[in-house]
Amino acid sequence: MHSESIADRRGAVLSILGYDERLFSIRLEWDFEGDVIPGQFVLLRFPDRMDPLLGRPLAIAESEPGRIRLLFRIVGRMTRELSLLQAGTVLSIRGPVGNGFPMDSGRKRIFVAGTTGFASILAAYRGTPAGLRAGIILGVPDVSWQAFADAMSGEIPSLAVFSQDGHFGRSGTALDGLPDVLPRDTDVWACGPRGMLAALVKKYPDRAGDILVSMEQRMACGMGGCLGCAVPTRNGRKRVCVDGPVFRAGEVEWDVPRDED
Amino acid sequence: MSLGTRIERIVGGVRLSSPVLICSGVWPFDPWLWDRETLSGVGGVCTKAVTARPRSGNEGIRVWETPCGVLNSIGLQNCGVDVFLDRYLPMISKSGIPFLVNVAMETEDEVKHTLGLLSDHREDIPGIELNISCPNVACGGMSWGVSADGASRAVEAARESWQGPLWVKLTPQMREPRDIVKAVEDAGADALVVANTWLGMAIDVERATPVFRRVFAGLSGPAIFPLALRLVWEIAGYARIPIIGCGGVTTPDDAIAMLQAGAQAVEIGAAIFRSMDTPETICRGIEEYLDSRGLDDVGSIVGMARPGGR
Repeated sequence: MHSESIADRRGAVLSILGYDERLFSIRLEWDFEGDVIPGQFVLLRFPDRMDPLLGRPLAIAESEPGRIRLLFRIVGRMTRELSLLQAGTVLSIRGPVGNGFPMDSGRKRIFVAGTTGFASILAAYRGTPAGLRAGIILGVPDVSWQAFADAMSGEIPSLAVFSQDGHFGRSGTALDGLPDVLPRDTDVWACGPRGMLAALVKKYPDRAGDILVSMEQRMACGMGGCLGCAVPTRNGRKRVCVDGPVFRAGEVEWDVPRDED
Repeated sequence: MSLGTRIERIVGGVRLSSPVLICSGVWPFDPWLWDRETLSGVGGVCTKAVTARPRSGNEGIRVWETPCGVLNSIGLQNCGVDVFLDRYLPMISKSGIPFLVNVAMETEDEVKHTLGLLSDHREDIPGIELNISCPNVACGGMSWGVSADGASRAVEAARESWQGPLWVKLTPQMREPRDIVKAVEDAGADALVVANTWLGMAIDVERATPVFRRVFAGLSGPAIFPLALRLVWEIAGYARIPIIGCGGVTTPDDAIAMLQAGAQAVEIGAAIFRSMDTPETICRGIEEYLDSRGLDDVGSIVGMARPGGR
């Protein structure tokens, strides 16, 4: 548990880069000098406004003391506003939130991302010693993700990109980039849509304990209070915000459908 | 700079370090959060609801943002009173933070059972907030609080097992507020929390279906503040016991308005989701207000806006 780092901090936009008209990378400075663990996230909000009321959870893709980088896609009014911000705009940033990936596990790992789930995977990949990196895969649905995927390939030359419509990269889902048999000494670290994570568990049913998933969930508070993000697990409901977002896939109940999927 | 003693209150038998409480459903039992620095400005915490048995809460989407507000349908997910007593009460009672245990109920027997167990720890528990107003459960919850008969039976049952300070959290869905307030007072409550979330709903137009499995959900946040303020004003006109205003309080002026309307204290919830510094900000605002008026005590603000109150 690393919840103790949660606080509402002041931040400001350093720069925003648009890969296309709906996918963005945003760099922020903030008054947090501590270490960020790959897999942790922040909640962004406009400090002096009551609308939008709640912070928006976004995974940290890159960090250095006092600075973070996030990746996001426009999915609603807050992300649309974020995409239009000017450098210097002040934001309220709650975080860093969540447990993060077990960076000191010492085991090899294959990194698997679906769409913007690449943010936390990028952080985890960069935080992993070269000798433990056993591959990195990005899966996207269609051609509308090409600019984003190309940019990520530019940052990680070994990135294997899969598009479901076969328009670029290799044809198929991210899971098609995985070996049929997962080597005993290797784990999978994944972040992406719930459907992708559930499929990952089905692919390696006897290795669910070695698959680490960073889950995305609608949430309100990001401090463990509201229970809006609680998901069913074998050990009762757990909060994605502070008990996660990283869980061992074997712990999560994957058969409970989410209404928004 | 620490906050002064001018804002301390005793409300409904509970000593509060400020008139700003965190309402139920907001503050979890994680030990690192029960810390005086983190809770700067917080006069007291109403715990997450505790029920006789553990509850896993509602399936499906649980939170949904609305303009200046948030709908929730959590469904009283909690560990049950046994685990609460074993795992959490020792920690929160040692923290030194004033608190009330929020107790929700399905039946009269159930609330007697829950409060009977809590009564065994009477010296560790400053007060109980009886929840007869949760809109997000199928059995009990708000159904106790919409009628005078239900409210009376619920509070009488609670009083059988709990002799300490008893606040009763009302629902804004009350059919006859005046009758319900009288019933709750007559049944032995020490204070009224006015109120809980307002019943609302959302429809996901893409999926063409209600967002929440239970269709209706509870609305909170700044959007409901004028509604809650009106209800506090109204009830303060006839209540014989203290009122704690709850609903959309976000800014110092919101809190001062609730006090001026007749509340002795306020509870805040969604404002904490927005900013954990809200209680301290509100307390500093209240202190500035006292300074600007040359007032010695936060009690002097209570009812100030009412006819003859200044």
